[in-house]
Amino acid sequence: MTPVFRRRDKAGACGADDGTVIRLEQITKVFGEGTAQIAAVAGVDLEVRRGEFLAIMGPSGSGKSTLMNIIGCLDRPTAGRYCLDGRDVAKLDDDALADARRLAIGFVFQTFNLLPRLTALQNVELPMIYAGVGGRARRKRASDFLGMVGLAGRVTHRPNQLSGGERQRVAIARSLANEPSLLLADEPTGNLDSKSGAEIVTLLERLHTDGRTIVLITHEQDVAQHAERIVHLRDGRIVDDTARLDAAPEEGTP
Amino acid sequence: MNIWESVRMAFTALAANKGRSLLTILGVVIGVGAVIGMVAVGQGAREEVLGSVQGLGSNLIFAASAGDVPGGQPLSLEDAEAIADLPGVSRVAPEIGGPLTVSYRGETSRSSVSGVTPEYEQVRNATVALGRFISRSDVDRSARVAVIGLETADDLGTRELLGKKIDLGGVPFTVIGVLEPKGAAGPVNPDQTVLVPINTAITRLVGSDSLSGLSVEVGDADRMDDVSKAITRLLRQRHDLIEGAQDDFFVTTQVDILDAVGTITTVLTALLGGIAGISLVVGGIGIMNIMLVSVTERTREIGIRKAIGARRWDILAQFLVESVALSLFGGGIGIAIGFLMAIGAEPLLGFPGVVTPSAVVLAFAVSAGIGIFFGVYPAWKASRQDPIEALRYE
Ligand SMILES: Nc1ncnc2c1ncn2[C@@H]1O[C@H](COP(=O)(O)OP(=O)(O)OP(=O)(O)O)[C@@H](O)[C@H]1O
Ligand SMILES: [Mg+2]
Repeated sequence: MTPVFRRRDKAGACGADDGTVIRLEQITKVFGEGTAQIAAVAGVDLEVRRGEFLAIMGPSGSGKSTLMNIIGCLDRPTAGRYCLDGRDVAKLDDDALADARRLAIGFVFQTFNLLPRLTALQNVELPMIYAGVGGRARRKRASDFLGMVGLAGRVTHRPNQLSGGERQRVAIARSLANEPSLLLADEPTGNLDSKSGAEIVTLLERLHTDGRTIVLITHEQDVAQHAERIVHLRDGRIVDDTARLDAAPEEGTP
Repeated sequence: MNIWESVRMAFTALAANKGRSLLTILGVVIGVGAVIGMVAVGQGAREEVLGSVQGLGSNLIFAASAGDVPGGQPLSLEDAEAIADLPGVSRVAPEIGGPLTVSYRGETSRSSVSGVTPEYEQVRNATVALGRFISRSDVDRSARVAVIGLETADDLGTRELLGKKIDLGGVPFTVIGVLEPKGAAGPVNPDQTVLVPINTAITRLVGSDSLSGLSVEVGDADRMDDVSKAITRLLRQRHDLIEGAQDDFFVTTQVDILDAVGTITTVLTALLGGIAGISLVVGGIGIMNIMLVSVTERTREIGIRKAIGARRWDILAQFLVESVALSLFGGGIGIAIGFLMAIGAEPLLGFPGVVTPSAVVLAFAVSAGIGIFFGVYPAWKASRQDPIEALRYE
């Protein structure tokens, strides 16, 4: 599994080396200026252990996606400290963040964000192109991942020739392309019927069993039930943080 | 990321917008085509003029009277004979005459008519195609014979003039030879000429023995400067010029003329190329314009690419390769058009344009440079986009 950061230097070290992958300290994200200011995330403290399967729930507009963008190194918080795998993200430059996004983090966007002119296969290939994977290996891996999400027959379709659920599954396949150790999924089952949704959940559980850390945003209680821990967000704040003892048993753990 | 991946991405993007890509290329096509074509015309003019100067003969020194110097003496046949005795001089060809109307059976030609000696044939590289050249005895006898250039013959309506009598300023001359054509270039057309024995010219045509000029052939090219100085010294002495008085003659070597012609045509080529270069810059600005539009249009795409881990350099390379591909493609077509212009120049200007390999290489390098120069800013702008801002762009 790819570590979040390859080079282990002391610069920008933060947090204790205690198996915590994500450590958020008083993270705040404010949008707008003056009287129109909204704190989409308002002082969140959160720790996620390596290999944990965490679900984030909360009403629409409670700041889940905003928080996820910060965790995924896409956006920078207005205030607070974010340590990712022992590194202070605020101290990383743009290219180091790009390295993290490319190699260590798989991100499934709520709005898919596929490139409209590329086929499903090419979309899944894209992160591997940036990671320098050769053409043949890349196409093989991309079609394997598409097969894994049940889209073996749709490789040459463009996003606008796919249903919403199919696009979502292409987005999932793409997030897995570089075998990231941290998977961030913003409502990956939002557009799926319960059967395909269940398949995706099964896939996520399998990826979790392989040792990946998974953070999942969902509105659906039965999807959240598969996580080990559920965090509830309201108005940008954590209002509930419950470890689920009856979560799907983790193999190899006593 | 591998550069080939950038190239592949760039071509996919350009192919997706064919019409626009082609219109953008057009600016560079015109620019490069104009530069190549204009430089080819300049080079062609240069080779043409240099060729005709060299065609005069080799290792030549020219002397002529300065004309407007008060108290100055014209060059005389005796001056020419004295120069012939200088060390290093192999032959001297004196000349006398000027433009005159030649006629034959009612047809006329305005030609340069010169009285010459037999030395003229070797010194000035004048080859006879038909008949013979003027001989020593023609000169001694003041024979009324003439050797004519092909263009004069054409003016007179026939090339079958050997043995015929032509009329020079009211005096009949028998044609004894026709000159090999040299090709027209410069102010004097070497094919529109009539040569007669020098004594005949003095007595029958000009009425004075002032030379219009003389050509000196030097045996050893390395001695050109020495000989040219010796001629100056000799002529000053013969013309009784006191120390400090102005020369009443000119002495020029063929090398001086070649240098002067070379300089003039280089300036001409640079000027033509420079004017055409302006259109190349305009073409480059066209590329920059389209790339800026393209970067704005593709903001979301840039956001997505960055979100899945593209580095700044990856984005920069992608857009830079696009602009370089556009300009190189335009440059390639432009070079082809420049070639056509060079070929098309021949019937218009009377000489072919010359496209040198260095001009082609330079055109390619300049188009690549244009692509980079005008592509860097848009590509840099693209690479600087913030991923989350770009993803939110509608
Ligand atoms: N770029 C932005 N500018 C201004 N306000 C924003 C911006 N992005 C998000 N917001 C606001 O921040 C709040 C949280 O948005 P966010 O997208 O995080 O909600 P969410 O919990 O993901 O909701 P949903 O379940 O509907 O996806 C919302 O009120 C939203 O209007
Ligand atoms: Mg959301």
